[in-house]
Amino acid sequence: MRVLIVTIAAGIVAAAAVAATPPSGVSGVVDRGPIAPVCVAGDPCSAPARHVRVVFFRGSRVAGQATTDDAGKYRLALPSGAYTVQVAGRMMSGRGAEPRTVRVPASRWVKANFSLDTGIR
Amino acid sequence: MQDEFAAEPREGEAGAAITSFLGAISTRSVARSGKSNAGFVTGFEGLNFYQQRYSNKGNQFSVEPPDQALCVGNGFELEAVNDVLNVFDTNGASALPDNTATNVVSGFPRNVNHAVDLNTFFGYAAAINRTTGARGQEVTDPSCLFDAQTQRFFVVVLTLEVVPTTGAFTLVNHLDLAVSKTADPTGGWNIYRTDVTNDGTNTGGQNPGPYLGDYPHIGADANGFYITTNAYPWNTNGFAGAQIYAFSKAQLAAGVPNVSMVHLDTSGRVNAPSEAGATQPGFTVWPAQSAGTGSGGDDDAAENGGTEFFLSSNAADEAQRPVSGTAGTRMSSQIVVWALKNTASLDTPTPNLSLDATLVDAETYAAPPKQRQPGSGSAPGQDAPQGFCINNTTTPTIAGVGCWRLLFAAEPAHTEVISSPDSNDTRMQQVMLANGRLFGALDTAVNPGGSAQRAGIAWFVVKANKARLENQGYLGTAGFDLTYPAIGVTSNGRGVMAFTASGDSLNPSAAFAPIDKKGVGTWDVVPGGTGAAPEDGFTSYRAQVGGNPPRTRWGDYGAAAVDGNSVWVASEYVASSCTYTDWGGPFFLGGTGDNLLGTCGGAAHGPGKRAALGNWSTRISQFNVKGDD
Repeated sequence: MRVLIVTIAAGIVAAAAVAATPPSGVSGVVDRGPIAPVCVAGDPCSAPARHVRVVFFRGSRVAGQATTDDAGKYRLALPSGAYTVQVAGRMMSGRGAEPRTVRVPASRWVKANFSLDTGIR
Repeated sequence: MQDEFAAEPREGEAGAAITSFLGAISTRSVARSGKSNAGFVTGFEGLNFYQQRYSNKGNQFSVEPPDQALCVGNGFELEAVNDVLNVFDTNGASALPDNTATNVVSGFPRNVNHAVDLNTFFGYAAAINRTTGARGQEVTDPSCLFDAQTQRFFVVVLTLEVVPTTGAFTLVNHLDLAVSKTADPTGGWNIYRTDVTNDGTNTGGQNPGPYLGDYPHIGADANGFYITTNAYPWNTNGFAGAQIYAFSKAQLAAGVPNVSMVHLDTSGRVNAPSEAGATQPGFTVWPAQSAGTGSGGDDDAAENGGTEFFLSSNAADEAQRPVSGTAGTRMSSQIVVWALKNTASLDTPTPNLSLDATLVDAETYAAPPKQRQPGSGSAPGQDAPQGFCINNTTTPTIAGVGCWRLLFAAEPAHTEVISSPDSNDTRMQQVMLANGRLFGALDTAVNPGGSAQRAGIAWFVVKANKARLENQGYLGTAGFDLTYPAIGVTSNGRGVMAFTASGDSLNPSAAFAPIDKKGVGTWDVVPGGTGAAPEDGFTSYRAQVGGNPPRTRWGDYGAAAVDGNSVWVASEYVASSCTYTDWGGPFFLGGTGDNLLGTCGGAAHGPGKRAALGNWSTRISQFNVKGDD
């Protein structure tokens, strides 16, 4: 019985640590476009990039990665610093994900949206 | 020369090199032309955003980019863009009936220079009925060709079926091919339709349909008429390969009800590795056009029972990563020469074609950066009135204080900047066959003279029947971006390459350079083709289309056409400037002018210089090229 109580207490401490908002990170939306050969004013020319991996690099090392949800949203805790970004898992063409870099300030969350090129023209 | 650069032609600088994210790679000198001399003959503004938006009584959408089609023959120049068409005589005057009196929009006749919308031309309901809101088919990606052998004009579009009540795509799409009944494009046309929704079956099976038959382009030899597409799955990742549709040209020209057509999938036909294995699919496999009969000026195209040639490139993810879509290198030192043989069999009951793809080592090319224009990245000035308007919170308007209220119901962010218009990726552009040589070009990253990376052009001259590279080079200039090349070459081997030029001090302009087998000469803006203002279309602005940054659509391709010793070229540019005050007109309190926002048409109600949401235009120029090959 004593062992069980200790285990539960340790679990609560761990959960609290996970639930705390990390001091810095990045979040945003990834979209893909064009989704039709010609863009029509008033109609969407891009769509959410669902379930793609957004990978953040410091140099050649993967610092972290997140996967977008059905709305193309992602969120990832990262230490402050400059990162290069690649998005994988979706057909891309041309220049790929834009922008290519993001800077995360100390003790802040930054919003970074990315656009993928479908290759459709 | 009429423009400010008349006395200051620019050269592609020797020592152009490409630097990509993989590092610096090889350097080559820009080849210089030996004999070509492109003499300017005439030029005029072609179709523009105003004409597009307000043709068919205004039952059109604002669309970007224009997508340039141009073909010339029998004393006519036929031009088409998204989503409107015109036919000009050799003086640049429209040869179509004047429709101004009946083209009434918001109470006034609108002069669209006789232009006809593509929905009407192809027999569809209006793109949108502005009274009922009903949507018609989405017609896109026009191309055209005049075939001297059959004396027929061919116009091709990709048509996307939509739900009339919502405009949502049904995913059904088809190639529409209009063939003139005579050599007169102002007369009757026969229209053929080929469904490409499921015709682009990927033999590899990685990417199930339905497909979008994107980016159709056309060519012809003595026997066939050819359309190629890029098949993208509508609902899944990946790429399903370029598709080739081969038709009997004689049957099309004769107007027979049912024309023989052969479909070929290029998947698995390029012997270069990709994540799919030992092969790649073709991507933007551009069929060759040629002056005259389609024989290319010698016997090469007549060999093997008739041969149609194509060129493509393989730097794009579509070629290198056709399955997963993870990023490839986006650079390559190869191009692909395609030969479709035994095309004479298209006129038989059982056509029997064979398709060869030959990899050819070539100069390195890589995905270019976006174009820059004066002010890129800074807040729009009043010469970019749409952008200025979105940012404006102080102008008194009929909708309240703040110009943005004229465009949006909800207040947008007021942080718009002058855009960096899209360069092309590395896909092959217009291909010409002349004297047995294939001429092609594509957008690439260049570092002219070791300077900062810009968008430039890689061009190629290939001996067709040997699939052997004869010449190649780059065209790029420090401080400028050169994009969307289109090459026309006469049967004597002389040609002109058209493209868009923009830069740190040059608004998007229509430019050209002479080309022949020895190389590319000095480039310049075509007379009258200097951009008058920044690109100010709706795809430039986040409030309109989202994105970070928005993908500012430009191009997506230019066009060149050959008629005897003349090469006609057409490129997108910004023809007119328009002040913020004129753009707002009577929509600003106390203002005067047109009762359509943003046309700058004045109190006489046009013709406008632009429309509220865009200012693209096209420039058509004629050059004479002389000399023997």
